[in-house]
Formats: sequence, structure tokens, C-alpha cells
Amino acid sequence: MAPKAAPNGSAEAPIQVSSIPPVVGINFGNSYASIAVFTKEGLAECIANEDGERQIACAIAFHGEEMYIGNQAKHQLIKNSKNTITGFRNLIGKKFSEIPQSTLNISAPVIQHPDLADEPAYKVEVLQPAPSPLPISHHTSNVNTPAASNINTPRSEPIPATRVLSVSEVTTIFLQSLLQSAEDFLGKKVQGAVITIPTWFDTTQRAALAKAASDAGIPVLQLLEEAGAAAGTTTTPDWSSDADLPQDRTQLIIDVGASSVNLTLLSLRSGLSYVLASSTTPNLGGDLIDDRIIKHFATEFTKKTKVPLTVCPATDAADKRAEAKLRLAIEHTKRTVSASPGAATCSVESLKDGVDFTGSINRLRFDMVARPVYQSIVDAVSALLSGAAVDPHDVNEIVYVGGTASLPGLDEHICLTGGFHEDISTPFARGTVVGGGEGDPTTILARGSAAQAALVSSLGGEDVKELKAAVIGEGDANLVRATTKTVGALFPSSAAEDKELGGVFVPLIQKETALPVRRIIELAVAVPASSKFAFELWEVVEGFRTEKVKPPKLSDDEGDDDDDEEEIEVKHRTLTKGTFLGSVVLDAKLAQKGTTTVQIQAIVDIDGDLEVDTREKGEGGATNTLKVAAP
Amino acid sequence: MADVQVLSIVAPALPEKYSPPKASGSRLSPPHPAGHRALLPVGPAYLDHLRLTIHHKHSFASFDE
Ligand SMILES: Nc1ncnc2c1ncn2[C@@H]1O[C@H](COP(=O)(O)OP(=O)(O)OP(=O)(O)O)[C@@H](O)[C@H]1O
Ligand SMILES: [Mg+2]
Repeated sequence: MAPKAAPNGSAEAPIQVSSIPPVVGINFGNSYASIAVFTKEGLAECIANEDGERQIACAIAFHGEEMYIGNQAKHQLIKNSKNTITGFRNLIGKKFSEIPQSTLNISAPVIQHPDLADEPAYKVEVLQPAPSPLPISHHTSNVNTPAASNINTPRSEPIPATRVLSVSEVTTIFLQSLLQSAEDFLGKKVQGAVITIPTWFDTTQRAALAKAASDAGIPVLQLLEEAGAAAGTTTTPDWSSDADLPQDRTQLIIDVGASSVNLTLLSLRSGLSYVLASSTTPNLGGDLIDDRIIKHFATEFTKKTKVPLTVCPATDAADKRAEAKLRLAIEHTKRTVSASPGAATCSVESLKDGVDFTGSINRLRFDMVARPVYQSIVDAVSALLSGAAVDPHDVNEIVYVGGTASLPGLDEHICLTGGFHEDISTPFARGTVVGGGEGDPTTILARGSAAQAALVSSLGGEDVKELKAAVIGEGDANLVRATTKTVGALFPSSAAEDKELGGVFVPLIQKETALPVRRIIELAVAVPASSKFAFELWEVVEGFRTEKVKPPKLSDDEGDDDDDEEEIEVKHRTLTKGTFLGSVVLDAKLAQKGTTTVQIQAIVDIDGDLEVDTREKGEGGATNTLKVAAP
Repeated sequence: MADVQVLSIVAPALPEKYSPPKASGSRLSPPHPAGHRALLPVGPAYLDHLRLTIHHKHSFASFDE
């Protein structure tokens, strides 16, 4: 198929085809999907489908002879909801009997497949094209009928029919349209894909998705958990280069979609990561915010027009339809609120009784209306951290994933009330969210998946089979031992500011680092007249001390100054010496102008043996090897 | 060879009267046992870790060759 003019970005993309890896990353959410490919600049970027959408609604609708996919299908929810299929991603690989019948469904209901045992399916009404017209007869009928013209035979009327589609078939149709968009953009066949899955997908669901994808013609390289796809983006050099983020850090991924909140606390160690704690909260997210905003606008509508309207829940048919219209319309409103603090409008033609509605809401007001939902998200975060016994101050970075996490007010609320350090790094604080920057929560998963697809598809050479097996989760190569305490070098000092530890502490290997591990640091060391330099190797205990301080005076008006203003607690990080492991004392050979450059390499091997090699940088420098046997 | 992390600090000069603490024979705290943590199968660092594990018996020296 010839490449269509790409509705987004540069239409020249398919020209330099040879340098672009023919791979795609697919973020397959329950509500929206997105796809990323590599651009000729070598960046993984989300692309738009043929309707110009980067966030593609996971919806398929049948209307007459037409099949709609994506956001167009969502529009069918207003008048044609019984032929509109949504929410299928979460049902992949499930038996019909496993699906709670209470599942609120505004779209085509899930039914038992008529032919397959315990198989969920959807039944939709379609119009099938009529069988091709009968071959034109050259015999003239002698019955009293008009003679058939043998040119321009009018097409016969399509025939109403019902069509049953299993969840897997729906998934295949949907994924195939994503593949098509990617291939249209690339101008060539996709040769490898990485598709995201939620953490809670079990092996049956994984297998079912893999099958549906391969039925769609997608060469699946890996099904990657969403947290992994996020890490695929946040461990790239681009992500941390301009942000001064340490290579070893604790990262909290806050994924707020439409119908669920997924939290993951990651230990990120020089690009290698594992999950410290995670949680899924169903029925929390954008849908709940929608309910509140819809109510807000419905009230405004009634106030302005005196037309009564009761929504969320709506009972009568006219109200239900009005609610569905508002639900669609506020997609745009929410995106505007995310993008700018000014007024965002919501317009619906003939909202109810033929009366149009135009309302507007600014960010401040929106956040007020949405606040209870924001607070529930903070509560989920607090529960996760306290369950993992991790102090919020231990989190170095927050990463946002999912459409609803694009709301700056949510970030604000989380940072203000979550108990985090005031300097915690978030994409909003770094200014990388707006304008589709690298911190854009709606594209992180697809981009990370595309990067992973490129990486896996580049694997070659010998023994690649074992590597690939491990990548797709076969075997137990992913199960690791990990350090429990931070080990580092303490450079003795008699300076007053170093009194607490008696020196300057430089961490070598952080706690929660997978074994085996190697870290190499390089630093300058001041060398005194004795020309000796030394450090002690310590395992340390990290903690916090809280201090009560009076808040700084905010206002000048002394009138109602209250002297007993409440004190606020300020948290400080503390380090205390744990276990002494050994010391290194050397004569500097290469000191210049009172300092010398020292490299320290620390390795904890798979058995837990620690080896520290110290080397004065340069030819003929002092060296030392210190070994601490495994516990 | 692993990345070298270059710190921008200058470690203080050794105090004149410094003598190191007595060696205690202490060991590292025991690591989390195998299987306690599962790596996310993503990124170049993960592939390096796999190569180290699968092809180099966890040895950095062998891996560097
Ligand atoms: N820029 C934006 N600002 C605010 N909300 C947005 C924005 N973009 C998308 N959304 C909302 O985000 C939600 C979809 O998020 P996402 O694509 O992450 O969902 P998902 O992971 O597929 O859903 P689910 O949580 O149901 O699995 C929808 O409620 C949508 O309206
Ligand atoms: Mg999601």
C-alpha cells in the first residue's frame, strides 16, 4: 500500500527508509493506544493514525456497512452504542465466566460466544454487502418484468445481519489498524514490535494477546509490562542528561489512565531496574474526573437554559444521551486544561431538547472540581510507599504515565500533599511535558516500547537465543540477588562540617542494586604534606531526622500577626556508620598542586564478595586492592 | 569497561593524626536472596546484565574481554 500523506509531522519521513529500524512500539491501553516508530532523526516518536490521532481510542464500531476504529468509533457511543465495542483489552484471555457481569458497560455488551465454550464475545448488527448481483442474463425473460439493463446494474441493498466477534477477533482487528498506521508512516513492513501489557496480565492473557497480535500480522518481539516500557524511556541518556538525575535513583511511576491507577516504585541502577513495590487501583482515574466535570457542566447548562438535566448517573434516555455527548466533548476540554491555564471550552450542539451548550472552565476551577480524585490518587501513593516502608523523601523522581497524568494540577497536588522532598524531580518541574516533550505522559510507553523493539531486533550473533528467551521472560535469568545496604568510601576529615561521620562519604554501591554489580568513580583527593591519602570502606545506614522550624513570615501586614504560628517539620537526610569493612591508605605518587586523581572500582560479585580496587590515575600511580569476603 | 562516574568534589586532605580503625573482619550485610527481585527486561543495561550472567558466568573480567 502506498504511504498516505502523514497527517502529523514531516511527510518526508519515509524517504530515508534505510536508516530507520522497521520496528514499532505499541502502547495498548484499555481506553487508548498509541504507536511509536523511529524518525529519521533517530528518535522514537509517537505518530498519528490516518485520522490524525496520537491517542487512539480502543474502540470499534459498526454502523451499517461501515466499521470505525479509534476516536471515530467512540462517537458512535452516542447513537449507536450497542454496536460499539470498547474495553476489550482488559478482557483478553479471560473466560466468559470470569468476567463480572456487573461490569458497567456503556457499549456493546459482552456475551457468551454462541459456538465456543466459555468464550466472551460481542454481538453487533451490521449491514452485509449484498451478494454480487446475479450474472446478467442474456435471455430475455418472457415473464412480465422489465428487461434488465446490462449496463450499470444498480447495487442491491445490503442485508442486515448480526455479526459475532470474539474478544480476540476484536483485538486483532484493532491491532491490525495500528500496524497499518505504522506501516503507512514508515513506508515499509514492520519487522518487529513490542507491545505493552498491564502488570496483572497472567500467562493466559499474555498468550492470548500474543496470538491476537500475530493474527493481526504483527511480528511480536516482546510483551513488555507497562513499568518496563516506562523505564525504557526514562533510562535513556536523553532523559537524564539535562536533568542532573543520578544514574542510581528511586523512581515512582504514577500511571493514571481512564479507569485505573497503576503505581510502581522502581529501583533504577545505572539503567538496570526492578520493582520495589507496585499497586493497581481499579475504578480510579480519568473517568471519575469526567463524572465530576460532566456534572459541573450539566448544572451550568440547567442554570443557563432552565432545561433540567440529571447526569452521572442519568436515568432517562434523553439525559443518558446528553451525558454521552458531554463525555465525548470534555475529552477536548481536558486536553486544553492540561495544555494551558486559561479558559477551556466545552461545546455540545443540541445537548438536550435541541438546546446547544457552550461552557468554559479554567484550570483553577477544573482542579477544584477534580480535587477529590487527585486526593484518592495521593492516598494510593501514600499507601504504596508506607506498605513498602519507603519514606517519600527517599523517592528521587516521579514519572507520570497515562492521559490523566497530563494534568498539571494533579502533579501540583501530589507534590504538595504527598510528603515528597520539595525539590523532587518531576517532568512538570523540568518543563518536559508541554508540547509533546520527552516527559509527555501520553507517549512514554509507546516510545519506550519502540526503543526496546529496536534493541531486541538488533540482537544478533551467537547465543542470541538465550538472550532472547530471557528478554521474553523465559527461564529465571531475571530473578536476581540484590544488595541491602549502601556501601561507600569515607574520606577522613577533621573539618567541623564533617563531624557527624568524621569525613566525607562517597557512595559506591547503593542498596537495592542487582548482583553482580560494578561501579567506578573518579574524584580528586587533596594530598597533604605527608603525601598520604586514605579512605575507609563503610556500610552505612540511611535515615531521616525531622526538625521543627518556624515558617518564614509571609506578609508584612503586622495587624493580625499571630505570634504562635504553627511550627513546620523539616526533614533532613541522615547517614550513620553501619559496618566498617576495611581501609585503604596510600602514598600519592602523582600529586600535582596538592591534589591527585583517584579511581575507585567496587565490585560485589554474584556470591556477595566485595572487591575494591583503588588506583591513582596515571602511569606509576599508587594502587591497592581490598577484598571483603562474602557474608 | 563500565562507565566511570566522575565526581566534581575534591575529597579532603587526610588529617595529620589519622589512623584507620582496627580491622574488624566484618562482612557486607547479606544480600536479598535470589528471586527476591525480578529485573524489568528492558534497555541496554539489562542486555549487558544478561550477557554477563548467561555468557560470562557473572564475571566482569570475562565480560570486558
Ligand atoms: N491531555 C490530557 N489531559 C487530561 N486528560 C487526558 C489527556 N489526554 C488524555 N486524557 C485522559 O486520559 C484517559 C486515558 O488515559 P490512558 O490513555 O492512559 O488510558 P488507558 O491506560 O488506556 O486506560 P485504563 O486506565 O482504562 O486502562 C482518558 O480519561 C482521557 O480523557
Ligand atoms: Mg494505562
